[in-house]
Amino acid sequence: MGAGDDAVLHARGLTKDYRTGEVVVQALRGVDLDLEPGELVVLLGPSGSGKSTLFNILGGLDVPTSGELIYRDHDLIRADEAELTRYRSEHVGFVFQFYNLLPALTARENVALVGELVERALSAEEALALVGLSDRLDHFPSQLSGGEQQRVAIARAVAKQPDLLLCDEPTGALDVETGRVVIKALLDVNRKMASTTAIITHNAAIAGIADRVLHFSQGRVASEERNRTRITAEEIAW
Amino acid sequence: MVSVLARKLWRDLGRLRWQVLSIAFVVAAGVAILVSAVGTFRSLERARAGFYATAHFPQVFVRLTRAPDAVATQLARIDGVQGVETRLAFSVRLDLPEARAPVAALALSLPRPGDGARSRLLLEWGRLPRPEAPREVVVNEAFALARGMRPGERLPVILNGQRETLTVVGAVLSAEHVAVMRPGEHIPDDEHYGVIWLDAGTLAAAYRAEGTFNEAQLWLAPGAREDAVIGAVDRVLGPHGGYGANGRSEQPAHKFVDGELQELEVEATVLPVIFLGVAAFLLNMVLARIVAQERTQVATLRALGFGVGTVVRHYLLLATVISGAGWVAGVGLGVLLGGGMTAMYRAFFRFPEFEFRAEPSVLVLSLAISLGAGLMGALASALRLARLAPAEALQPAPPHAFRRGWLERLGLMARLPMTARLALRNVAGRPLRAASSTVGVAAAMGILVVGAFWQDAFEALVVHQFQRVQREDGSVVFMDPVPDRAVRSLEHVPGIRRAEGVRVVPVRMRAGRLHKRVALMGLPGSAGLRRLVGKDGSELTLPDHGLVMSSHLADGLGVGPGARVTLEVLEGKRPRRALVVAAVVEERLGMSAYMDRDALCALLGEAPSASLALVALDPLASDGLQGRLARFPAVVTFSVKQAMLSRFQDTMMEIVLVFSLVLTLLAALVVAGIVYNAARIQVSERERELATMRVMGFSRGDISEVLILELALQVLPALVLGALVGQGLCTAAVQLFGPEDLSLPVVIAGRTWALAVGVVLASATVTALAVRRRLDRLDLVAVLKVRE
Ligand SMILES: Nc1ncnc2c1ncn2[C@@H]1O[C@H](COP(=O)(O)OP(=O)(O)OP(=O)(O)O)[C@@H](O)[C@H]1O
Ligand SMILES: [Mg+2]
Repeated sequence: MGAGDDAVLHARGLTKDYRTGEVVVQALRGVDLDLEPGELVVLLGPSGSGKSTLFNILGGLDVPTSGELIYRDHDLIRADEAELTRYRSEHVGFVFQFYNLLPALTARENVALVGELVERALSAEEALALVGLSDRLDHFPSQLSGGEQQRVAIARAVAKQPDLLLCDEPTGALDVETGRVVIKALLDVNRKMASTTAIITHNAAIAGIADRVLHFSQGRVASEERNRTRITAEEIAW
Repeated sequence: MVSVLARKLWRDLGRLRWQVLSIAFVVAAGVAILVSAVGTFRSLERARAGFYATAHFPQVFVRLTRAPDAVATQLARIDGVQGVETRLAFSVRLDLPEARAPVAALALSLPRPGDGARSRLLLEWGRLPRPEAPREVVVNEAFALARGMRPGERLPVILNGQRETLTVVGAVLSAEHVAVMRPGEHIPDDEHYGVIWLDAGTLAAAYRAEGTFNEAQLWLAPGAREDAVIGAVDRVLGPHGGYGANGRSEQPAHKFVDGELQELEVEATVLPVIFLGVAAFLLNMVLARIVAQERTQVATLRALGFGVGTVVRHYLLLATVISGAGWVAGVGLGVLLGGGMTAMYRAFFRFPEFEFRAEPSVLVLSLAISLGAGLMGALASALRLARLAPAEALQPAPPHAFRRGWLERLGLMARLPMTARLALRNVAGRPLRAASSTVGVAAAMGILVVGAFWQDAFEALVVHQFQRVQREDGSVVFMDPVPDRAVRSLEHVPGIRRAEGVRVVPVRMRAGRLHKRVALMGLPGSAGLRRLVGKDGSELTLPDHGLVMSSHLADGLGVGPGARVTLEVLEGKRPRRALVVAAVVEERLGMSAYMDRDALCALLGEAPSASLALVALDPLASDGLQGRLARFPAVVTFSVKQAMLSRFQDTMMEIVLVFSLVLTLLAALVVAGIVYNAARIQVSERERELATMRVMGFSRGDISEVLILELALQVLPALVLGALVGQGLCTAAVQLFGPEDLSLPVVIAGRTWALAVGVVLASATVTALAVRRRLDRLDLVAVLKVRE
């Protein structure tokens, strides 16, 4: 685990309980985690182990039941709704399994939305170029394939030059080839913009692209390993 | 399996509870209007029919100067006549100096015992006069009520110049006198005019009319033709000064009540059907959209192996529960409202048995409409979804295909902030969906306008009729026509500024097969207190020759300017003359006909004279005018227009406004329900998108702004469209409006527009706040976790 002083995100003892009537589900049971600037982390783990729950908390979509979570010098535990919104808009980019584009906006406009939130945002054209979609600027989501939609979602997430890019099963709904293209786009972004990037996946083969691989189990980080060499998107053996 | 679906149904109802409630409410409002209004109206009709049956209301009525009793047998022998009753009838004055205005009455002789009388008086209180008690009288109940009479009350009556003190022993309801109007007036004045029934011998002795009658009533045999009988009666009574017989349609009380019923008819029957129709349309639209949101769930159920039928049945059940609940609530509310309205109408219509009853046919009809509309809306959507191959439906729904519209081509879009762009795109990109909300709100606003505008129309009528056309402050009626001198002398009475003599004669006008009985007014030359106002609002001058008639009368006779009508004068020497219709004027109350007074008197073969004087009063000096006029022997009555106007407002206007109030209230609820639903559905259709924006870092305010902008884009055009719908419905309502001698202008006042727009905007605002609240509580994680 890193020193933590220069960590972008610093989490200690995060727990999350879901209460449904009598039943309490402990989705997180004490997660300790530091994300270093610019690193790429892959999170592996069985279904239901709490990966999405963790991401939602890291990204300011949800709050933990207990624990400590600090983004640079901001305490996210004590942040109110408005502060969390500001945190998300200024520092976090999300990519989901289901692309969640706004169907009423073109690719360009979906990305340009970001420009309304942050000053330093890339132009929509630049962001879409990063994911190789310069030729599909004025297409509506309904006119794009799944992989293209996902790349638009990535472009939208990175356009704000996020400090933290959280991707929850970004290739889950895609075939092998398209998945490769999407991963490549994520790697490019991570390299060019030095955004700290975390990717949840069920596909262990993807782990090779990461600086660090975290194995998640039963609401905890069970183990962690560092890749000595990172493979490229083309080298992933699906 | 089914029990799981039943549980889903239950949960769906819980999840959609506010929508379910508001939709059920829209249905309930529509049903309640139909049940209460139609029920009240039919109860009124039934009450009158029942009253006519128990009171043995005659079918033919005739007045005459005087005829020997033996003539009655001639009447009885007419083909088709089943029974005849004759009587004496005289206008009498009551000697009540302390009254605010002169009190007069129609004195009628009671049938003699053994006459085999058919007509029945229904006792309200007290008893009928004893045959051996010549000074005992009964009075009509409304008169007794208005004057606070009690049993044993002394009534000083001037019988043919002789003061007699009579004793009131009872009050009665009479079918002939449900509404009692002074001759020549349109509205009852129960405080100053009533009916008294007394011993025939007393009346005959006072008027030296022993062995004669001057009124007859006839009952027809089943299947007898009324016109034929009327013709025969007129032939029999012609030599005895008959004024022309008439059927029920021209009997004053019947005509009055008929008019009132017709006044209500459109409001009570046509509008409620439109209301329920609008509610049904909204229900259909809302349910279709709610079910359409269930795409993935339907696909899942189908993939699990549920048949199309099972799935469709599930959504039909949802629709049935919602519309059924609305219907039940609507019937309950309708019965309550109907009971309340009926109670209010008891003050206007004095029928013995007048109870509210919900019409079974209306219950069935409203149930069919509510269920049908709900089921059809749900069925269309559910079938569409259930027929999709499950695999296809399970794929993330293809994003709606947006295209660039004219907005982009104009380059306007690019200049707008993204939230506005998003809102515009969503509205323009799904024009049908947006239009259905707009149309729904507009329709609801339309029914609100048509519910509320009646007061405006009546007020405009009052202004036209009582300020522009009838400019007099009052009128003085003479016993017999007087020379102009007598009219001039009125101008010397303190309190009267000006007097204009008018000659009024009862006439029957014929044009082809159509005929109408009216009071023809001979006006003095120069435009004075009675103005002739054309359709375009300009004032006309009275031509020297020919007739001027109100558009009602012209329509009733099917004539226009230039046409010829035959005039039959119904008094004096009864001349007949063909005359040309010189002009048609716009009057909103009563059927009137005018001609030049000198021409009329020449036609009658008299010197210029007046039977009525229109007067302008000096407001500072008119106190005590009643008393001063009472000293003129030629004057029978003096009536003040203002008093007439307030009676008009208390009766004819009030009757319509009761319904108007109910229509308005329920329409307002429909508006609120529909605005809420339109927005609420939109929220759930758009939840995912908005959640995505929140994840990206847009604030609650930003996403609310998008939705509220969209709401505004749908509601603002609805205001314009709703105004047009309202205007159209009002025009139609006024055209269908029943009474032939009361025509309402299509006037919608500022306050009605303000009310309609205000209700829409207030509903939209409250809805916007509710939407805002809902968006604030949007569970981002939950929304995004599930696939669309
Ligand atoms: N809103 C909720 N209410 C109750 N329990 C929840 C809720 N959300 C998640 N859980 C539970 O928390 C646990 C962790 O869920 P989470 O979605 O984080 O899993 P995951 O690791 O992302 O799984 P997957 O790989 O399937 O996406 C699960 O047991 C889940 O049932
Ligand atoms: Mg997950």
